[in-house]
This record gives sequence, structure tokens and C-alpha cells, in this order.
Amino acid sequence: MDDGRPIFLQIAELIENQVIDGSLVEGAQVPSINEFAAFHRINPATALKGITLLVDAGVLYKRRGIGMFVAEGARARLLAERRERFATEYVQPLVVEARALGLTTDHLIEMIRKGTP
Amino acid sequence: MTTTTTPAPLSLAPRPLSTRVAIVVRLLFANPWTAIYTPLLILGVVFLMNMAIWGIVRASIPPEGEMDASINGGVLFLFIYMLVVAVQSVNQAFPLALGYGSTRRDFVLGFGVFALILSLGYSVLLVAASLLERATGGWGIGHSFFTTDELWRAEWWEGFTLSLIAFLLFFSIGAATASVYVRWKALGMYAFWGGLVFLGIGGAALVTLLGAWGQVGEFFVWAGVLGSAAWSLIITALCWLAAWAILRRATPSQG
Amino acid sequence: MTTIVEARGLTKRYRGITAVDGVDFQIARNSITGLLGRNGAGKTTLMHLLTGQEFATEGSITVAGESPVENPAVLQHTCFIKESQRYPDDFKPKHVFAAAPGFFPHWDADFARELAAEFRLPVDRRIKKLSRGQLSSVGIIVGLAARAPITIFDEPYLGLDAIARQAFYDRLLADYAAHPRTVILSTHLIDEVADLLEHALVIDNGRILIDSPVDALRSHAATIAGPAEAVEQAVAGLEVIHRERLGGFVSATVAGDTEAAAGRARAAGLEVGPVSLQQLIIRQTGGTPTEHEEVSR
Repeated sequence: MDDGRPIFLQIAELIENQVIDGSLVEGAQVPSINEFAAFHRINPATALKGITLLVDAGVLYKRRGIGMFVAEGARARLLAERRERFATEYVQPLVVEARALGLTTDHLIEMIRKGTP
Repeated sequence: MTTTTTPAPLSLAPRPLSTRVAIVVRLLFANPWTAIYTPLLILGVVFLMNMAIWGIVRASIPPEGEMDASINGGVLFLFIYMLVVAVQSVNQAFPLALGYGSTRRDFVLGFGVFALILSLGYSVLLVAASLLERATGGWGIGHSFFTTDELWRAEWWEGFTLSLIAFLLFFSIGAATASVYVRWKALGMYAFWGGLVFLGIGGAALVTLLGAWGQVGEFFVWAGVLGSAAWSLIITALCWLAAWAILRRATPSQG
Repeated sequence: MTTIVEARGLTKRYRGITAVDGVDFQIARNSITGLLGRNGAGKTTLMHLLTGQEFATEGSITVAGESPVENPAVLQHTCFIKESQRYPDDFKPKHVFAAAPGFFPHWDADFARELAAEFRLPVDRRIKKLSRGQLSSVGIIVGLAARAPITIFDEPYLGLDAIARQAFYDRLLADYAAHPRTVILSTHLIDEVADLLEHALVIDNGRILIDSPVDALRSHAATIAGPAEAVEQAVAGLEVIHRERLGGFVSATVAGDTEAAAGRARAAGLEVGPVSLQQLIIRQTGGTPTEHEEVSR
């Protein structure tokens, strides 16, 4: 895993993705820190940092001595967040690139229509 | 890490000295072939070959030719062998022990115990074999292998003491030599042997110049075999002191 | 976070060569720290100082607050696995494993056996007759099975292939997770270990060049590429540690707080890429290959 950002962010995002796509359902237990570390071949402290991020954000919650679980309502919250970020992270660069190529907004809309099945 | 509780601080109470020394002894004995099995095996083979040769020789001489105590150097190799064991142990086990967390002091003491155990063990063995040899009339064929000179025919404890002192001397010379190598590598060896040769020749020249060879001879006669051996304890002690002084500032990476 | 190792003004000189040059650093207890740098940078000397095998010329280094030199209280907790470890000539791996439990009170003999099987180490063959990789695995097995509170690996995998190295990393991580301890890993295979490390100490010419959590390093460097003018605008005010040019095209590696610059660059249609730890270190240490031998030898 490497896209240049800190690994704990990538770990957090990975779990978020699994919650969003439903492979981790609300109330389900997530793997332990050590399992994450071993699977991704990263330092356990890094995995812990990623998980802590999600606990602080209310996506996961700890049950003492048992483990970590996906919080109720986590998926809806994450979806809302991601949709907001979609505009800045995807749409804006898209528009910038389109301008550079001399495409108008109408062109762009047309292309999106065609490209969507 | 995965838990938020702080781990207990590292204990800074050192293990007892006896434990630390025992660890080094255990390392030095880890392969028992080095200092025990191999030399015993060689001793056994030399002994049996000696017996066989003695048997042939004895059969070929007329029975009235009374057997002469054959002064035999067969056991001498054991002393030389232990010198080599000492050199190798210090040279090779020292850096390993340090990497595994021994202090230099623990190592030197551990090596001392190792040398003492072997010296005692082999001295007991040699004396026991000599006693057995005499009790069986030279293994039934008048052969003398372990009873190598007049001294051994004296009291058993005299032979034991002589052997013990000799083993300790050989171990200490080996340890001192190896420590020079560990600390100063090849350069140290040149200086060491150069110095030794210089001292030897210088000493001999001095004695010759003073015309004192007679007195030197008298000294050994006066001291006797056991007495001369006892005097060698000074050399042994000096070697140990030198080994310790050299190793306490030695680093495994030098050279 | 508790500090376990602390160096202050630590200096080691050998006959005119300064191998370690007045370094100050701390290592956190129960973390995995990478000691990174090229050959001859001073890594091995530093580890020898840390285990009391070398004597500092100036300054000090403490482990758990005490000097490690001839200090059994400290040294009983350390295990130093050297790249060039020598063993007694007639030793077989089994003799090493038989002697090790004395030195290491937490020694796990079953674990050692398991590792020997995994690394396919012939425990009954003379060490002198082992291949370079097998020799390395003897050290790795001792280093892992010792479970020493302070475990130091100095380039432990010479001669090991990629598969065996991966096995080492996996085992190290799993065992570290189960039995937290302070691990110091010296290596020049930086990208291979980057994700295992919590903290990186980069040493060059005897000085500490980088002393930082690895996470921070990753977010503190980026490559920005595109038309020269746009790139120069985007990286203005940032430390450019490397610049490559191809006609009007520039690729700049920047260090520092690159987040904002990366955003600006993306918005301007420039390419923004990650910098691997290894690239970052190569950039920071000058980038020209040298053939130095390790100074300490």
C-alpha cells in the first residue's frame, strides 16, 4: 500500500471503504490491531493510529476486552462525508483537466452521460 | 502499542554474578566436542596405538631384558591441545558473548571457571589413569603411558598438583595470547611474538653474559620439579592479569 | 511514550576518522526504529556504542538511564545480531541455540525450532559450512526467539532471498505485536522495511540527518512535476531537495509541509506523486553512490 499519504490514513480509509461497500456491516467486529498489522505488513502502532482515528470519528467503537465494532449509523455518516468530498476531490480536478483540454462544461456533461451505463 | 497501559519499567537489578559467569561457561561448553570429546578420543587412540606398539616391541625382546619405564610424551599433547582450546575460546567466543549481552568481566571470569573445570577434570583423569596403570602392572604388559616420569611414581597428589598447575599455565598462556589478538589483531600478534623472542634471546644473552647458567640450573635443582611448577604460578597469574587488562578495553569490531 | 535509549553529543573517533559525530537522539521504548543510512555512515558504530561494545570518545549514551558499558543490569536486556557475527569454528546452529537461553531469560525454544524449520536451517551442520543466507538465519532466529527487551538487528539478512526476508519481516511483526519490545533495525533496504518502522533515524557521515516518525516523513515530502514555470510557482517557499529537468519539464522533490503545495499543484494540473522513504533518504544523503567500507571495520 502506498500512495504517498501516511499509512494510518490509508488504513482508516480502507476500513471506511469496507463499511461503505457493506463488507463490514454495522455492529460487526473488525479485525484486531495485530491482525491488521500482520495482514498489511505494517507496524502495529501505525494500525492503532488508523483505528483510533475511526474510533474518534465514531465509525468504530471499542468494547473493553472484546474488540472493535462498527458503530450504528456509521455507513450513513461516511457516505454523507464522502459525497461532500467528492466535489472537491474528483469534480474539481475533472473540470480543471477538461478546461486544459478545451472542453466546455456542456461537453463534459455530455461525456458523463455517454460514459454512464 | 496495542494497549494503552504503560509497560512495567525494565528491571535494572543485574542477575547474580554466579549466573552471569555460568552463562559464559555454558557457552564455552556448548559444543562438548571442542574441549572434552575430541581430546579424549585422541588420547584414547594414541594410548591404544602405544599399547600395540609396546606389545610388539615387548614380544620381540627376550623376557629377561627387564622392562624399562618408557618416558612417554603421549599425554603431553593434551596440554598443547588445551592451549589451542584457550586461544580459540577467547578469540571466537568473546565477540559472541558480548553481542549476547555479557560484560567483559563476566566473560573473563567465565573463561577462568571453564579453564579451572577442565584443568581439574583432566588432572583427575591423568592421575587416576596413572594409578590404575601402576595397580595393573602397566596394563598387564608392563607398559607405562600415563606414568611418565619419576614424579608420577611419587605420591598421587604430587602428580595431581603438577598436572593441575601445568594445565592452568597452558590455559593462561593461551588466553593471554588470544586476548592480544582480539584487541590488536595481526599487528598485536607481530608485536607480541616479536617482544617474546626479544625477551627470550635477551634473557639468554644476559644469563650467558653473567655466566649464570650454572645458577639457573641450580635453581631448578633446588626448587625441584614441583617447586619449579609452583614458581610457574607467577607466570600463570601474570597471564591472567594481562588477559583481563587487555580484554576490558577490547572491542569486537576493532582491527 | 517512554524513552529507552538516549544519546547526547555522542562521538566516536578512530585514529582521525570520526565515525559518529556528536549525535543527539532518543529511541522510544517498545517501538520499531529504523537506523538507516548508507554503508560507512556510522550505523554499526552507533549500535556498538549502544551495547557497550565500543567506548564513546565524547558524549554519552544511556539505556534505561544507565551507561551500557560493562553494565550487566542493562546488557541482560539486550540482544545484538550482527551482520558479520562470528561463531566458534566448531559450532553448529544447535549449539548456539543451546547456549542462548542462558543469555536471554525470555528465550522461547519452541519458537526457535519453528523458525529453524521455516528458514530451512540445518541445525546439525557446522556453521562454517553454512551458506551466507543460512548464516544470516541463525542470527535472525536468535534475535527473534531471544525476545530481548532491546533487540538490535544490524543488516541481519545478508544472503537471504526476497522470500526469506519477507518471512523475517512477517515473523518480526507478529512476534513484536505479541511480545512488545524495543527493536532497532539497521538496514539499507529501506523500502522493504519502511512500513514496519514507527520511527526513522537516518545517519550520514556520522551525523543524524533525519529523526522523525515515519508517518510524518511520508506526508512531508512529495514530487511535483509539470511545466517548469508552473512547478516553480507551486513549490515556491518550500525546500526543494531535488530537481530534475527534461526540456521545459521539471520534476521537483520538496520537503516540509507539502500538503498545501500539493493541493495547489493538483489544482494547477500538475502531477503530484509520493516520495518513498528510500528516495527521500537518497535525496537527503546526496544521492551519489560510494564504495566506502564500513568505517568501524
